[in-house]
Amino acid sequence: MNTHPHLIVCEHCDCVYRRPRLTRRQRAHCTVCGLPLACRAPLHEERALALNIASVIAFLLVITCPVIQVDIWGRHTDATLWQAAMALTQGVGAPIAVPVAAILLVPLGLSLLQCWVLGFASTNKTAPAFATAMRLIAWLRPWSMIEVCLLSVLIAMIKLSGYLEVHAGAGLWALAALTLLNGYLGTQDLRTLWEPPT
Amino acid sequence: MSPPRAQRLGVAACHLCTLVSDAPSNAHARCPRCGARLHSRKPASRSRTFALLCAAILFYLPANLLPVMRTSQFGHAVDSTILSGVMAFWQAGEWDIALVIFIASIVIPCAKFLALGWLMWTTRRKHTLGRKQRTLLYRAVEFIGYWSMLDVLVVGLVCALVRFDLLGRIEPQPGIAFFGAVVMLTMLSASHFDPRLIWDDPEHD
Repeated sequence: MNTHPHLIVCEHCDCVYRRPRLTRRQRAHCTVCGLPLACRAPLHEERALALNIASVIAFLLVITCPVIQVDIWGRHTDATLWQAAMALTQGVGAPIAVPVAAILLVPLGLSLLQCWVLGFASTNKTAPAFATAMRLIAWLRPWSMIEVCLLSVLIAMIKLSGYLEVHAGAGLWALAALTLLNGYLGTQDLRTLWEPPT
Repeated sequence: MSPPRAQRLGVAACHLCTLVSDAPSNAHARCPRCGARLHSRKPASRSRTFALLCAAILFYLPANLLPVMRTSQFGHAVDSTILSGVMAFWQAGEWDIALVIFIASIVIPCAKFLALGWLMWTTRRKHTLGRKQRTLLYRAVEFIGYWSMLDVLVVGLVCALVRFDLLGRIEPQPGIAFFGAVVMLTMLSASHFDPRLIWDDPEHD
């Protein structure tokens, strides 16, 4: 089968272009549908690796530290995001807890996989099982919902603050940090790792 | 002069690594660089999108009619649905929170049903008007899709926090499982839709 590495096809409208060479601040857009083309300047591997390691650490804090603490009549409880998923297992609606728990773990899986491919890429090697890791990354990415977690924690706090005394836990700050890290990492297109080094 | 389209040139791009190769001759072709399935259009895009969308719309009814949460205090239990939760915030004067929940749990799922339904209808009819806008609409559906998960997580958090047994307790109810299923089904439905179908033109290809 012939390949045409000098070409790029718009994912949205199927238009074919010559693959442009871009610098870090440039983006190429399709002239027909106006959406961005899937080509970027080569990644800053070390920086992306460092931020992925940071997001693994932030994630571990999010999942182990309570995000919300409440006090009522001298009694104190707190909850982590993981406990929130487990709370859904009560009653008839229990099956929903399984996908919710899986969705909570997606950012960890993503960051670990990205650390794996970027770690090798930063030493100019190809990671073992590179293709499988990249496929998993592409498959998991749409299910990462860190921003939604952050907003839902804030809404739960407001919802409860009418009846109880509510405090932010350490997990909430870690969650805010993770949201920022994920926001930046979401703009990095790992698909450039497929391109042979020039 | 618009650029040529891949299908006419007889090439196809890999959806995983973006490498352009000759268009696959059968359904089992794989990308020579990364080994992912190579296809010029997502397989069975229309029927899969439609099936998942129908399932989502069916689940949307119990998601709104069944209670999502039961609040019991001193032995007195009150069930609330998604809409009654929004109303409670509204009546308490917290219109901003009511608006956020209303948009995430009611407006976004309905807008997704309408948008995907309309995209399916217009691609089936091979409409040529507003292709650029419809492609943007598809991107928007993909982008806002997961925000509806908000309510599921809020219910989980509130239930995890309020477990004071006798004094007060909040428990999840089946409605929230249906609602979570609606969100995931619409996300899957959107991911199976192929935006290139919007641009396919039987008279020119």
